[in-house]
Amino acid sequence: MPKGRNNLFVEPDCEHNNQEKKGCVRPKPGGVSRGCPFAGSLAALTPIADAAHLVHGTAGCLESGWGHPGNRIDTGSLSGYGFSTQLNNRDMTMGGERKLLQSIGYIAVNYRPPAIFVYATCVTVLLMEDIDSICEEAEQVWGLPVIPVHSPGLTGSSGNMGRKLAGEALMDRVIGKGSHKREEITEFDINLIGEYSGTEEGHSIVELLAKAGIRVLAQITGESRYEEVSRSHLAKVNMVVCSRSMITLVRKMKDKYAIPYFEGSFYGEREIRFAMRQIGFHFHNPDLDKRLHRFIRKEEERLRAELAPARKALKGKTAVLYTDGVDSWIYLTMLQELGLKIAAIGTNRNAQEDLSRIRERLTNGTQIINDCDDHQIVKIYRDRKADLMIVSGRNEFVPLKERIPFLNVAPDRHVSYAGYDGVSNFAHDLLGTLEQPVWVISGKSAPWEG
Amino acid sequence: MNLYRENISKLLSVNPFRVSQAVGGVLALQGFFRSLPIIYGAHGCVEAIGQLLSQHFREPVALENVTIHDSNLIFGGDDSARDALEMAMSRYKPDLTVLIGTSLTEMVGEDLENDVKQFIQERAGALRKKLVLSLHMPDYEGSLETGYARMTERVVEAVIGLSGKTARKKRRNRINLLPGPHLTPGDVMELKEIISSFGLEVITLPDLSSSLCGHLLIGNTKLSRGGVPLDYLDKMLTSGCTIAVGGCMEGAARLIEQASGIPYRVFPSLTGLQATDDFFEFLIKESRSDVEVKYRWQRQILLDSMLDARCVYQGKSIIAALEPDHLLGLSEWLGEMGVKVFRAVAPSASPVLEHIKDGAIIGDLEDMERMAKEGADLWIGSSHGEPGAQRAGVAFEPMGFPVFGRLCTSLAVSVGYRGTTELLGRVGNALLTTESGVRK
Repeated sequence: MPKGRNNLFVEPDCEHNNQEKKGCVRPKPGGVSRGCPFAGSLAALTPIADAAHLVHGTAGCLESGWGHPGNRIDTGSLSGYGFSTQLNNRDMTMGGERKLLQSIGYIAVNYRPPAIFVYATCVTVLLMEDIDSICEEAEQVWGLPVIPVHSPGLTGSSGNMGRKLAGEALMDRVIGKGSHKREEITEFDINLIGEYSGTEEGHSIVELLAKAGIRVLAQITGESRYEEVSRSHLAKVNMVVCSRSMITLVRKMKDKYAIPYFEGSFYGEREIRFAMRQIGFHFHNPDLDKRLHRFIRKEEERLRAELAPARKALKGKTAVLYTDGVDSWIYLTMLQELGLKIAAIGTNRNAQEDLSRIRERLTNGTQIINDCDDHQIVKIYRDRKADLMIVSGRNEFVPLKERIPFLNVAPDRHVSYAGYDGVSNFAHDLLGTLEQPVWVISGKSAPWEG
Repeated sequence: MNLYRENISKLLSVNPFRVSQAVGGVLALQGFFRSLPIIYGAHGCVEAIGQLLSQHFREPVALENVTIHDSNLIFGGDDSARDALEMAMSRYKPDLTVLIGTSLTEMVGEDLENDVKQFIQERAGALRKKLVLSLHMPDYEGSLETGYARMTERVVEAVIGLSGKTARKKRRNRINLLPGPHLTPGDVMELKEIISSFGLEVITLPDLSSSLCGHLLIGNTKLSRGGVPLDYLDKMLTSGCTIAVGGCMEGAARLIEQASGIPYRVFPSLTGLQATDDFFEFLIKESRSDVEVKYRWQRQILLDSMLDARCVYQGKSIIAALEPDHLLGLSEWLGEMGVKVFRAVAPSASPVLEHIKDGAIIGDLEDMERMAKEGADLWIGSSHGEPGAQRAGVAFEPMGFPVFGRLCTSLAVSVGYRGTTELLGRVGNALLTTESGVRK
C-alpha cells in the first residue's frame, strides 16, 4: 500500500499506522479461516431494519447473512427480509445489470423502504458490473436513496474490512442527509458506534444510558431506523463501543461535524465506570457529572450485594479463553472482577488493537497463543488444570467434543452481558455452567466398560 | 398436468431459501469416513457453509479452504490449490479429499482437475488407497439436493475407477442404500435397521447416520467423524441390488448399474403407509425372508394413529417450501392423510416436481407468504420461513434445511411405519394447536 496516500489501510487514528509496512503476504491455506468483507458489510448494515438490503450476487452469498437466530429485530417493516438478485447461469454470460435495476424497482414499488442498500459481491466484480451508475439511475427513477456498498469477498480476508467499507458507504451517502428536527434533539445525545453482540446488548446499553439521563440518538449499527442514522450527525458525542472497525467513520465525523469521540466498553464494572466518566467529560456539564457519579455509586453498591454469593463460589476458578475478535478482550475485565484466574487465551482472528487490549487487561501468568489451533488449546487446558473454557463462534465444538465445561459467549444467547445487569447475567451463566451435572455424568464410564 | 414453472415476471428473489450446491456437496462428504472437503473460493464461502451446517446439525463439520487472494484471480491459483492439498495431506491425512470449486473459480476458469492430477502425480506412492478428487459446484445453478447428488456420483465414479469394471461374483444378501439429502441421520439409521432386520448386509453411501447424529466417540477432530469407510466402498460393486431414496440419487444408482450390472430401484420417499409397504414388499422379495414382528406391530400402530388423526388432517390446506424430493414425499403422504390442498414451492427445478399432484412452483418465500395469506392451515419448511409464517399468521412446522433453534432435528425420524407415525404426530399437533388457537 503506498505510504501517505489516503486509503483504508492508512487510518491516522490507529496505532498500527506508524509501523513498517509488511507488504502483501500470500495467505496460508486452510486451518485458520477468517471472515468475509461482504458478510461483514451485510452484518454491519442489516441492523438498519427498515431499509431494504439487496444482495447482487449468486444464491450462496445471502445464505450467511439472513434468517439466523439472534439477529431478529423488532424495528422496521423489512427486518428479517432477504433480497437477492440470485444470479443464474444465464446472467453469468449476459450480465446482471438490467436484472439489478429491475430488482431495485420491484423493491421500491412493492415494499416502499426509506432506502435500499445494494451490495456488490465477488461475482459482480468479476462481471465488471457498474453498480454505481445503476444505483444512480434507480435513485432518479424511483426517488429514494439507493446506496451501493462495495465490499466483495475477494477484497480481503476479514469481516472487519467489510465493516469499515460499510462505514464508508454510510459516511458518503447517509450520515448528514437527515433533516433537522429541533424538537427531537435533547441536551445529552450520543451515538453508539461499533460492534456489540447483537440486539440484546444494544437494548441493555441504551437502557442503562437512559437511566443515567443520556439519550442514544443512533446506533451505528445496532437496531436502528434509516432516519436515525441519517440524522446521527446531530449528536454531541460518539462512543466507539468495543470494536474499532468503524474508527475511520468516527474520525471522519469528527473532522466534518466536530463530534468528539472516545472508546469504551460496557462489559464489567470498571469498564462501565470508565465509559460513563468519559461521557461526562465530553459534555462538560457539572450537573451531568454529579448525576453520573451518583448513578455509578448506586448501581455498583446494588451489584456488589447481588453478586456476593456468586463471587464467593467463583473465586479461584481458572478459565481458558478460545475466542475471536472483540470477544477476546471484552470479557476479561468481568472475569477478573468476579475473581476468576485466566490461564490462557487462544486467539486467531485478532487485529493488533485487539491484542493490545488483551495485554492491557491481563496480569502475569496468562499465556497468549496467537494463531492458536484446537490441539494447542485443549493441551493447555489440561496442563493448567483449568475449570472451564470460554469460547465464541465456531470454536464451540472443541470443548464440547472433549467434554470440557464451557460457556459460549456468541450472541445466540437470550440475555445480555453488557451493563450492570449484564455482569450479573454473566456471573450466573458462569456458575450455571460449572454446576451443570452433565460434566460429571459425561465422565462416567458405560456399564459394559467396567 | 404439471404446473411447475419459473416465475419469470419477478427477476429478483425475496427471502430466498435456495441453499447453494456446495453445501450439499460438503454435506454428502460428511457421510464418508475420514474425508475432507476443501472449498476453493473466497473466505466468506467457506465460513457460510461451515456455519450453516453446524447450526443445523449442532455438530462440527469437516471443512478446509484454499485461501483466495486478488492475485489468484489474475495470475491463476494452482499454487494455492496445491498448498492447500499439501497442507491437508500432511496435517490430517484424510482418506478422501475433494477440492470443491465455487462460482468464483468457475468464472476465472481455474482448472481444478489439472491441479489435482498434478498433485497426485507428484506424490504417486504416498496416495495409495486414498482418493483425491475435484468437483466444480458453482452456486448459480442447482441447490442443496443437486450438490449432494453430484458429490455422491463423483465419489461413486472414483471408487468404480479404482476397482475397475471387471465382473465379480455378486452377493445376493448385500444391498447398497443411497439415501437422499432430505433424509435426516435418524432416517438413515432407521432404514439401515429395517434392511438389516431382513438379514441383509447394507452399504450406505453417504452414511450420515454415524457421522452427524451427534456422538463423542472420537473427541475433537478436523476430519469427518463417521460415515462409510473408503475400503468398504468397493464392496458396493458386488451387492445384489441398489436402493435409491429420492429421485436425485438415481444418477449414482445408475452409475453402479452401468459398472457392474447391479439393478436398482428408486423410492421417491419412504414416508407414508403405501410407500413403506412398497419398501417392505421389495425387501421381502429381495431377501426371501419374513418381516420381523416388531414391524407388524409398527404398521398396526401407524394405522391406528391414522384413524385417530383422520379428522385433524381432513380438509386442511398445507403449504411447503422444500427441496423437490422432500416435497414429493410430503405430497404423497399428505394425500394419504386426506389433506385437501397441498401447495408446494421448490428452490430449483427437478423432474420429480411433475409428479406432485397439485403442482409446484419454483420460487421463493415471498411466494409462500402470498399463498399463506390466501389461506393455509400450516407452513412447512426451513427456518428461513418462520418469520414469514408469523407475519402471515399461519402455524409453522420446521422441516428440511436449515433448521435453527430446535433440538434433535437431525434425529427426527419420518421414514418407515414408526417414522411416519412420528411425523403424523408432529404435523398433526401443529395443526391442532392452531385449531385451538382459533377457538380462543
